[in-house]
Amino acid sequence: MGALSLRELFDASVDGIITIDQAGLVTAYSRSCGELFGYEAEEVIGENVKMLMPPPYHEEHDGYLDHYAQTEEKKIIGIGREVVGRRKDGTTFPMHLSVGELGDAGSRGFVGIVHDLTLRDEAMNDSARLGQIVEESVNEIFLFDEKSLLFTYANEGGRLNLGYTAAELKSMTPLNIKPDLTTEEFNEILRPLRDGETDQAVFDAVHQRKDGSTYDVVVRLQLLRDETQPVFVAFILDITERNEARQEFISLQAEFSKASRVTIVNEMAAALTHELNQPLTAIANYLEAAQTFSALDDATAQEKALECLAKAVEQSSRAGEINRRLRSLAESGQTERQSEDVHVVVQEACGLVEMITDANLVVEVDDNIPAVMMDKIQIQQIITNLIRNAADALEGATGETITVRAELPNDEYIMISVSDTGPGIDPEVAANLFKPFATTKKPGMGMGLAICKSIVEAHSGKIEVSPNSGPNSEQGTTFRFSLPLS
Amino acid sequence: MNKSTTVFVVDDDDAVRMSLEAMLTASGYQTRIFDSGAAFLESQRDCDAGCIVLDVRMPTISGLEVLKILKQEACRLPVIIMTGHGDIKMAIQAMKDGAFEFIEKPFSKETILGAIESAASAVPMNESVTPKDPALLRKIDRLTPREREVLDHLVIGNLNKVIAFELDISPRTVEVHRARVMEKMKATSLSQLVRMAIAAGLAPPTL
Repeated sequence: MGALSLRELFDASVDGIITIDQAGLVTAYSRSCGELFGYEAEEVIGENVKMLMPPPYHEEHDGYLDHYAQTEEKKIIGIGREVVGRRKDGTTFPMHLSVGELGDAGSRGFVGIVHDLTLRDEAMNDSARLGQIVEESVNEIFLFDEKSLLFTYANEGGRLNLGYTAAELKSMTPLNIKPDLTTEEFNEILRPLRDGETDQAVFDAVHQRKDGSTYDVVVRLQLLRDETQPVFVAFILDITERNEARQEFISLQAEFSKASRVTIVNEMAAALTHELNQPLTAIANYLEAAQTFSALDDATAQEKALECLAKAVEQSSRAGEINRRLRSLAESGQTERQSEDVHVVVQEACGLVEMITDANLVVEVDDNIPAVMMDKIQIQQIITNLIRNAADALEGATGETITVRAELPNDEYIMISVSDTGPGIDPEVAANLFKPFATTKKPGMGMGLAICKSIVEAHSGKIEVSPNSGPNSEQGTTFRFSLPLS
Repeated sequence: MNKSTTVFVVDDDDAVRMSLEAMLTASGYQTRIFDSGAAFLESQRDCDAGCIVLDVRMPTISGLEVLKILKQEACRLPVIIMTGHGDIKMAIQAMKDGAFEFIEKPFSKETILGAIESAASAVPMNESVTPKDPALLRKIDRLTPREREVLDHLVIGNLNKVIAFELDISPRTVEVHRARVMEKMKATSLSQLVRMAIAAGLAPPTL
């Protein structure tokens, strides 16, 4: 490569190079300057360089030169600074200007090297905007060191919610704000990220504020490697509200369950009123008969009269028993768990609904079943509901059987099941059976099984439905639910 | 009724069935008791004398079904239906299916004996409904429009409260209208009123 002329070098420079004399008139103007300012060299050479400057430099530049000439006090010379350039079309752009002095006091001049900062500023603006977004996000965003796990950054949302200052956080790790998480557990979460097995780790956690209070969060973690020092970035979503909404849903469900209990109590009351009419009818009949017999002057008739009176008394106890059941049903407005005898629970529930169905109601309770903690009324609500469904499935059929069983499959839970010999359930329907508003029944909201499910789950049990199996039960459906023994 | 003829009692409730037997026997009736509709239908019975006292709610075969089968068999015995509280609609269906009368449990001795007695003097069940009796139609004509509305609701088995809601009047007012209707129609029971309405063609064909 031959020696380059100064001129060639001058024009090859990417940065613009301009020289001026001590009056500020342009003496040289590199080719790249043409691209920066939009002026051709002919338009600029010999003109005052202030034409390339917007106000206030435009007005002040002559003054700077005079000032330097008089005081020799260097301001920009030898240093350079960020200034603003003005293009031919009047627009401005950020630039870095380095100024050097040429010649000596006799024929002094200056050289300015212009570096366009437009791109850098745009990039800076983007990252500043991004930084601002990150900083102001209500989500908590943290960066922490890949090795030491110390926080290197916490956005405003994180600092405010946790109550720690940025300085305090610099000496803390995520483990300090996640009291439920052990170092081992946390490393286990970080491992797949460190090993590159996954790009993101998502987990639920509890954050503890400086004041000791806690809140539920979902954490999304990523490892940023394209940094000189790899860092983890954590996006935190405070799900307190979501959990509050879930709580609200649960209490709504409880309300609904209560409302449905009221409905069921009303239904039961109607059924029991109906049932009450039977002994009352019998009492009236026996008493009338006794009265008629006793009026007859005949020893056999007197005996019959006494017999009828005794039977009337029996029937009045029957009426009393129905009344007692009605009262216990109405009084049980509150949900309360007590140790209950499963035999009694199942028998009573069956007794409540036996009259709604024409089918044979067979009850089989394993004698080995111990007492179980439960809300008796809620569990009876499930049993009566399942029997009611079975009865509906058997509607119109004769000689069918509904079997209610309570079994002890192991020492962990009991299983209560209601089977019918009906036509069975379409598998497609079965899949949605426990969802609210799923119904195949004309008059029905489809809430029954959804409520059953929520009650069973509230008792930490499970409810399921399956077609009957076994040699003697080719058809029909079994609903079963478990209740843990402890 | 000739007391030598038989009252057939069909009720699945042991106490009701046996107490009825005791009471009817004490009152001088011959009784035959059955614990289900099927047992009754399978029994050897003389269908020319006596009456049937039939519970409406029974497992396997309901009272209404027994009634229909009897009708198909051209059984001419009058049927008295026993209903529980809130079974009015079922009772009215039974009346339309040819039951002679319905009585609500619990009932007094007078009520059931009265029903048995009037059943004895009544025409057999398939002929019990005389269509469009002119005297009956005249009685209905004397009702005010409001009383007529109340009648229409009563004979489809609506309770006072329901009628009050439907007509947007108070239950108390319904009671007053109801009493006036009973008086003008010369009916002593809802059962009689329903029978008249069916005879006059007022009750709708299906419920």
